[in-house]
Amino acid sequence: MSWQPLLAVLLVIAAGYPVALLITRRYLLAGIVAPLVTGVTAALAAIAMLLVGGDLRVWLAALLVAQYAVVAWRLRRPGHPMPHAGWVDVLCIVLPLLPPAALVFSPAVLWDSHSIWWTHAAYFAQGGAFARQDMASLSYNSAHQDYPPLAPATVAGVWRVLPGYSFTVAQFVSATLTVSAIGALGYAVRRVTGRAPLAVSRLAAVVVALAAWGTAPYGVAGGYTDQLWAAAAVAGAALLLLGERPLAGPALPVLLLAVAALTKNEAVLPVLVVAALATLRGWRDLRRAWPVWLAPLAGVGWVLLARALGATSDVTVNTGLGGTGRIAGDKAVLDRVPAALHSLWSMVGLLVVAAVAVALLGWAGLRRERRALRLGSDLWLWAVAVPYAASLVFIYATSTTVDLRWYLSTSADRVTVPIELLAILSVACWAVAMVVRLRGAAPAPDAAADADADADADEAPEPGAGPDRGGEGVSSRSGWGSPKASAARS
Amino acid sequence: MKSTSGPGATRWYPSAGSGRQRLLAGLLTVLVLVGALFAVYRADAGAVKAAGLAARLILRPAHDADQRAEQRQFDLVRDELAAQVPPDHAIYLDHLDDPSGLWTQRLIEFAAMARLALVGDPGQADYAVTLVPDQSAPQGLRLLARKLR
Repeated sequence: MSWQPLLAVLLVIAAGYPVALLITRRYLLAGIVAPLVTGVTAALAAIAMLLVGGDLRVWLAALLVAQYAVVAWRLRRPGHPMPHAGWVDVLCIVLPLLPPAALVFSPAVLWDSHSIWWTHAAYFAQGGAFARQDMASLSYNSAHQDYPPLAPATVAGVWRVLPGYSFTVAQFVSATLTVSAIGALGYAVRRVTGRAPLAVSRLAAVVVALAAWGTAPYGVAGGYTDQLWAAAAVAGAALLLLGERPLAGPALPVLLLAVAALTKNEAVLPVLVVAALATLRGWRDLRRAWPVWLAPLAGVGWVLLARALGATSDVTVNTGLGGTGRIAGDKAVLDRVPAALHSLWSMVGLLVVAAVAVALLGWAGLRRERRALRLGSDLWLWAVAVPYAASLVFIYATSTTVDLRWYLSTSADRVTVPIELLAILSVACWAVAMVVRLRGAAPAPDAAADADADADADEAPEPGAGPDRGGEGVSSRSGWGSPKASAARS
Repeated sequence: MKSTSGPGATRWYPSAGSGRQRLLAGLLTVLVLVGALFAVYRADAGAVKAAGLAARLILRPAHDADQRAEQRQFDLVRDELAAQVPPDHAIYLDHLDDPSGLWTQRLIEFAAMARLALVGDPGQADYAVTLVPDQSAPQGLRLLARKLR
């Protein structure tokens, strides 16, 4: 194997690293988040290229230079290193991901990777005029030209630097983006359970992150994008719907939701729901809620742009939406619902039943521990999962021009990954609450402070940082185990 | 093992320590932990499977010989298309015996890589492209482009 795949991975990390460092103020965590910054930048560059024309490499360079200028200005100002993100935390989350991610060394031959994502990357790499032509071409309908640009634009950007259209390079770039999102999901869980005992919080993070391989283990490192958007969306949901004061520092969750919305069309609905729920949750401080709407705006914006450029959506074509198709009450549609439900059940049914059972037991006996952990309501997660599951059933049922058995067999294992992640996230939070109860009334006197103890050497420089350096630090001084503090919060 | 978590705790079971209360608390613990372990088993099995496949890939590379040959075949056809048809021309897929659609979709992809337009009408094409048998190729296929105009 040549050095190109390794160079490609380094390129994807290096390009987004400065902004990731600005967001996280942590050297190692920034390395995890950096590919997602690169991905969003590449997606925006592709959108600019499609709108204005020109070469993707030029747009990408222009956006990166603009970013670096902002970073150079902002990094001089004090900032808060993200909590629970010391080097031990990051390594605890990332190292367990490497064995399954080693599937990236398998031959780059998976069907959708070639037929959809790397085909898009190929026409993005040819510049704005060529890409617009292929997006509107009937010959390219099998490539689903309306799918969002994040993953293929990143691959195209790397191909413009490392020429040759290597499929192995494309697979490594795709896997880097996905593993980055999964790592961010692990960090999100570590952060929202940060008041729990250290080992328990880290274990919960790893368990949830590993679930991204789920029912479609070939997808993470094989060039697919389902786990990329699923992990990013659920990580964003965890930070916004379960975390403390999520709107106080929304950069990371907004980035994660933007990654989801710009990766696949079916992410737009859950991203919209998360943004709405986050706004509802933070209704006391609505002025801070607007950034979370940037992500669904980006997703809807892409849908409109793709339509304007002549790309067709398989969903609307298959249903006749926009034509003369009749959906409600159509017998052909209703007849497909049981098969769709059965397929979803076979993928995630038992897991969801277990998660609901644990949630009901937790609601009955662990609410106080959950409050003490400052975890948001579990219902938020189900409020994201249920509409998404309903949208899947709707799409399968209404795509009457497609053979349902083939449709389900080629996609159900991948599109159910977000439900799986939301379910295991719910279980993990209740299990953490249970462990806290088993440990008794006084958890670690300052769990978050312990968690950050290993982190100091990993913090980015912050000139002028005040005495409250150490992140949001809500937990590190609250001493939630003290009876007085506990009573005050109750 | 303590069954309470702090002063002022309010739960669905009484907080004092009778046998029945301890039983209920213990039952809750067992049920939540069993449910959580089952959920983790269901959710993380895919990662274990992927790790096993990756280990086999590294320890027994011969296992994926067919797929490696397929990727080499893709590389070969991609490079031959770029070598035989100059950029910014239109191609037509001619007599492609391709029931699975694999090669039709690969040539769509490779056409974009070679900066070629794909047309469905041979009258609009500059080149006709097809795949011909060749036993020296990784999977026995070679690309042939024929100039039409």
